[in-house]
Amino acid sequence: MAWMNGDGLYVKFGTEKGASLVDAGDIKTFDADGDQVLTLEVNLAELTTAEQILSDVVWLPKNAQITYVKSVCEVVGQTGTSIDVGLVRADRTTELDYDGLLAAFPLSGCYDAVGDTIVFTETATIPASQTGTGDLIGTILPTASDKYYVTASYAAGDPFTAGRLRLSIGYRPSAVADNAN
Amino acid sequence: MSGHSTQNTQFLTRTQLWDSQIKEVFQEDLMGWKYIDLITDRFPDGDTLNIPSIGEMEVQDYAEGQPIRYTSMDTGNYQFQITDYVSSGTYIYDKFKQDAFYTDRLVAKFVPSMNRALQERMEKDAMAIGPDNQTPNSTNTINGAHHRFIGSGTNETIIPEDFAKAHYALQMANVPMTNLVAIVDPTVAFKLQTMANITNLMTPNPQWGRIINEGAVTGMKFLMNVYGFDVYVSKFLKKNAASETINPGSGNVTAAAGVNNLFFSASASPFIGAIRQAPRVESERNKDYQRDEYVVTCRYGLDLYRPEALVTIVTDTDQIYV
Repeated sequence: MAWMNGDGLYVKFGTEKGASLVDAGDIKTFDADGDQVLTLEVNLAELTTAEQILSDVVWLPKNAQITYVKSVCEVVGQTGTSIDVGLVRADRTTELDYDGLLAAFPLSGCYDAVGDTIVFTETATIPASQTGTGDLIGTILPTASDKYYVTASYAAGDPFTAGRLRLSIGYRPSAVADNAN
Repeated sequence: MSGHSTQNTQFLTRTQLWDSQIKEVFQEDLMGWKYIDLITDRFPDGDTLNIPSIGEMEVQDYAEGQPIRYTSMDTGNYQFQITDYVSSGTYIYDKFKQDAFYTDRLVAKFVPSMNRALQERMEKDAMAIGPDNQTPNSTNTINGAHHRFIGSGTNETIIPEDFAKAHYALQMANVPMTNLVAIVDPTVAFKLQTMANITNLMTPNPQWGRIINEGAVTGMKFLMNVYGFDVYVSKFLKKNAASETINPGSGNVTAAAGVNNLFFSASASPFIGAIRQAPRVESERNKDYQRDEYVVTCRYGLDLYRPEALVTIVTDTDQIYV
């Protein structure tokens, strides 16, 4: 049973070690704009109604600007209706915005067929008919915390029995005024 | 007819004599600082020492043609401070020095006694730093094991199974299970020596029989291990100022006037400390007041560095006559 010690370090024990809820991490290839890309393999059946941190070794740093969120359906979602994806502070309990990346991101049209691909930016959604844009997209993450873990949950009463999304979060680190590029 | 008796010649009898010796109080053994991980050499100046901590890496499934994901190690920061600045001082007036019969022996005791007082303060701080940094009225659970609980015996006394429970908690926290040490109150030692089922324990393990012949404690150390713990006795363990209620999983238990018995591994001490200024003796002549003044000062810091490496068992102290 993992423990947040007094140093602010998240300590795992035994079989908890070595893995997080989902596989996630930055990939070496930058996107067309040179932004870094954080990818997460989200198994919908592992989500709960309570927000869960998806990976204990992946986070978005303060002063990073979130440029887009992209979802690709790899396994069709079953029985649920929508999910939230957001961010929590380094203390793992203080919400920044639990639906700041994807807000009530619906099954219908978004991950009810393999290959469904949805891209959210601050100004546009592709395809435009889809909903679920989080309020943090386009913003620069505040300095209240050094880093922010990615969280997810499903809408109350509608658990998923299957489904896997590949989420990509594009972000520009150190996007503060004096060193932005 | 007349003669001498105590009734008529009282001026020749010394009704009260004053011995050349001065009676001193017994002193306890001090052991607390033996278990402090002293880092004085790493903290030569400044108020706060930062000790960063790092977490671990993870492994992820990989498929050919897919990009490897890069992750980070979690980090933390532990801060340690020099918190205590203590002194002990006294003086003696010339007139008293000139008139008092015991002056030399009194003055000779000034510095040792002040040093002793300072060491006792440091001992008390060392024994209290662990419990003070735990959350009262809480099991202080780490990895599902309780690091603070009340003795499971009748009337909140200790039983051998509590040692096993402490052992379990340290094991669950990955603490090196060598040089296990328990520092317990004399009331705990009394309970262990007088347990109703001690004869049962004597059967499989003859060394318990020595308790009847020799008692369980020699000096400040128990004759034997209890569940792997070397057991020492101290009267400097922190006494709680108020009753404490902890729920160890089988119902709320309240200990009144509890004492905090410490269980840990000396191989990975939970305690950290630094001495910025070792005890320093200074004395000077004060001519304006016609007296000699003596001062001892010391600066040091103590803290609970690894909370997972400490288990505190709270026991009542008023159950020794049952």
